[in-house]
Amino acid sequence: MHINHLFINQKLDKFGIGLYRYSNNYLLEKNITVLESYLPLIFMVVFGFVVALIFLILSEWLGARRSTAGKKTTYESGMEPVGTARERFSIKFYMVAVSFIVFDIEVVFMYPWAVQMSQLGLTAFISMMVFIIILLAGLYYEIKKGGLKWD
Amino acid sequence: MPLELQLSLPLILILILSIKIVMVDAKFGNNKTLGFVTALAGFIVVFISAAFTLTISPEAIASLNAEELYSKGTITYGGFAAYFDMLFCVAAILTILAALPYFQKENSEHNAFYSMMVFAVAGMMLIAHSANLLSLFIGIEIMSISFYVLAGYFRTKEKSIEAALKYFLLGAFATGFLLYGIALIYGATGSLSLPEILTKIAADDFSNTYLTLGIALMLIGLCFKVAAFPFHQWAPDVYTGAPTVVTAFMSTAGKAAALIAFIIVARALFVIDIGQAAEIPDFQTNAIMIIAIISAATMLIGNITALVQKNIKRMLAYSSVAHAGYLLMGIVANSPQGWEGIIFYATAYLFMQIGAFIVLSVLERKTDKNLDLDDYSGISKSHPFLAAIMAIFMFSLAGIPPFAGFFGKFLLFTAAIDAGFTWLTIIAVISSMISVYFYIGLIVYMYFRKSNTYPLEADMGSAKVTLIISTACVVILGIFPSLIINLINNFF
Amino acid sequence: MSLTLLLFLILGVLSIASAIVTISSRNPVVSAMALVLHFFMLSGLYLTLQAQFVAVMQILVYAGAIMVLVVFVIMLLNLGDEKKLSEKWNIRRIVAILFAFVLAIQFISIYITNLPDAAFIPESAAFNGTVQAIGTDLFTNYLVQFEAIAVLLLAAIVGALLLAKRKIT
Repeated sequence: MHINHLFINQKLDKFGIGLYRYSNNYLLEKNITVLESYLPLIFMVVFGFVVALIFLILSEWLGARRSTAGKKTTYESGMEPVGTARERFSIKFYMVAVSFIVFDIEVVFMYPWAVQMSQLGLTAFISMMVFIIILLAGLYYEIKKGGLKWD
Repeated sequence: MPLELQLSLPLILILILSIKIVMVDAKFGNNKTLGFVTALAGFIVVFISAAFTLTISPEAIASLNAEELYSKGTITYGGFAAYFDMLFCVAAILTILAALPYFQKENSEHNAFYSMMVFAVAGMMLIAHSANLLSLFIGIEIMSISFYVLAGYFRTKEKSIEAALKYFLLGAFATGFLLYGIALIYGATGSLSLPEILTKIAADDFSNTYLTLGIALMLIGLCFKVAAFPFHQWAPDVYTGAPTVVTAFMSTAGKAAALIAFIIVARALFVIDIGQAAEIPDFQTNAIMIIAIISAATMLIGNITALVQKNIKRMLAYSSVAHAGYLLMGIVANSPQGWEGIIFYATAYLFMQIGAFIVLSVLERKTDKNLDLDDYSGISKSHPFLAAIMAIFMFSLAGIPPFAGFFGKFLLFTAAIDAGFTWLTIIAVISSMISVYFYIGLIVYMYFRKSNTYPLEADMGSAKVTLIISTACVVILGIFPSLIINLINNFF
Repeated sequence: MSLTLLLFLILGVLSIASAIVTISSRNPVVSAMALVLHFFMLSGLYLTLQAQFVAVMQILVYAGAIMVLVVFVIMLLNLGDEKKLSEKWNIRRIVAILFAFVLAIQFISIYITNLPDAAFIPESAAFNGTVQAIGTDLFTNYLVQFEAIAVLLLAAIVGALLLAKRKIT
């Protein structure tokens, strides 16, 4: 298994997109930790934050401030604002969100399976099918009971 | 059929049943009895398959090579796991038989109830089968999620919702402790497999700091699940607020499942004297002393608080807390004798407590009417059958011979004395005597008080089967305890 | 000071700080956003432990899906008067904080009195955290548990529908 991944990863490495981080052998060879291999990503996140922060500060600092009564009201497509901004949402949004989480977690289990499918063989395939069938029963139940209905 | 398939048949069948029952509910949601019939038939089939695995000899099971199995040794087969499969199925059958007339009376749709029951049993069976902390945790989670939903099953009733919410918030918190404990135990020993953990502990090959912390946190989580002091406060509110049939199931099978989890964990973490390790580690002496104190406090507090309750459902809820205290004595004893005591008492307790709650559910109206002691005055005149069996359950719960509860207590008390915990046994005897007061008090109300002006209605329907089976079991196990004792002697 | 230690300190401090903001802020939206920050910091902490897959899933599931749910609940409940949310300093709160403090002292004292072996991350950990390793483990050693999780999710679907739908047709 190791050899196989090393092979794939070395092929990808020539594009310089950092996919080699998955290879244990490569990391040992170059004597870098996993965290260090994620350093570019961390730099990118920090850089993104810093740029956003700079623009926020600059606009605050350089921008002119003339406040009028019209400017202070809530912008609502040119209309006069009606009522409070804190509307209560319908419970159907909530049901969709709950279903989303359950199926999101289902997908989480599919990534490792999909990545390793060629190595794992038939047993893993069958067990994944059982997993999907059980959750399909859940989906069927939800559709039949109107859990996804938008009325 | 390969041996592993035979042995895992109960688990496979409950998996199929849980898909089936959901499909039945989705497809024939309007049919009032189809869900009931499916669940009943399914539980009976699982029961038979579990009984079948009990007949396979332990030697054959022990000869299985873990590496060649699909479960890779993360699952225990046969023995006490099969016994508990049967026990949980019996509890579920008794509960759904009583639930049918109960939900018809409350005008509630009940198809989803059977689905949640199947899930709960699936979780409990996974707990009983687990030889690995991961399956133990997943089993506890499946069971708990089903119980949260079942507690709030009457979702238009404020009390039921309150019970569900309280149970969910506290339960989720306790699960956090349990999981953190599991993580630390994994960190300390480097393994999730319970037999491996035992080997590491016996060989003194572990990190003491993390193991101590892990055991402490895990103890908190498990004590919450069995409703032991000081994590028992949720129990009376949840047991009172939940639908009565749910309480009957939750406070018996749920407690038995939590205790089997306790036994499984204790067997992995605590060495017993006979030749397992050179010396008993320090953390074990301390942990067992803490469990002994928890056990003593639980039975005293449960029984003393039950004394002042006027509502019978709440009284039984507190007494259920007290029974958790008695059951923990088996863990304190930390010997096969103690674990057998737990299994016998859990069995006896299951029948008597389900019986008592089902009597309540039969007489109950509009979920919280007719539950006070006064309502039961002189009930022996209008309902001689119900009063008689309720009296049997009360005698058994109080531990009066010749009923099953007596032998359960007897086994636990002797196990604790053999382990050198005489003080705990004395406290247990004292709290049993306290409990006699309120159990007999109910009988006094039923038999020696003037009857009420308004007679209570009772429509039993299929609940009658539940009541007869539980009464029969309480009496038979009381007169012939050897029936079960001979069986469970082989487990440890 | 190594890079790992430095990152651990930054992430640890930020995650504790954002957790405190989450529970102490009166504005539920501020709490939710602090929780998002907390999830990101946790994800970074998982990376320092070489758990790459868990780190990514932490962001995907928690910062993605679960935060959506939290925001929905905030909109659903419409907590208009935030002043009512602020708790008074009553005896229960003081006792709770006291107990938390005692627990913290216990943890620290256990940790100090018998210091565990110096923390080290085995070389195999770098591989154990990858998707490949988790996939192999999940589908060989933990097959039963994997199927059990399907039942858990099924119970969650049925249960959520049962509790959240006002009227099942």
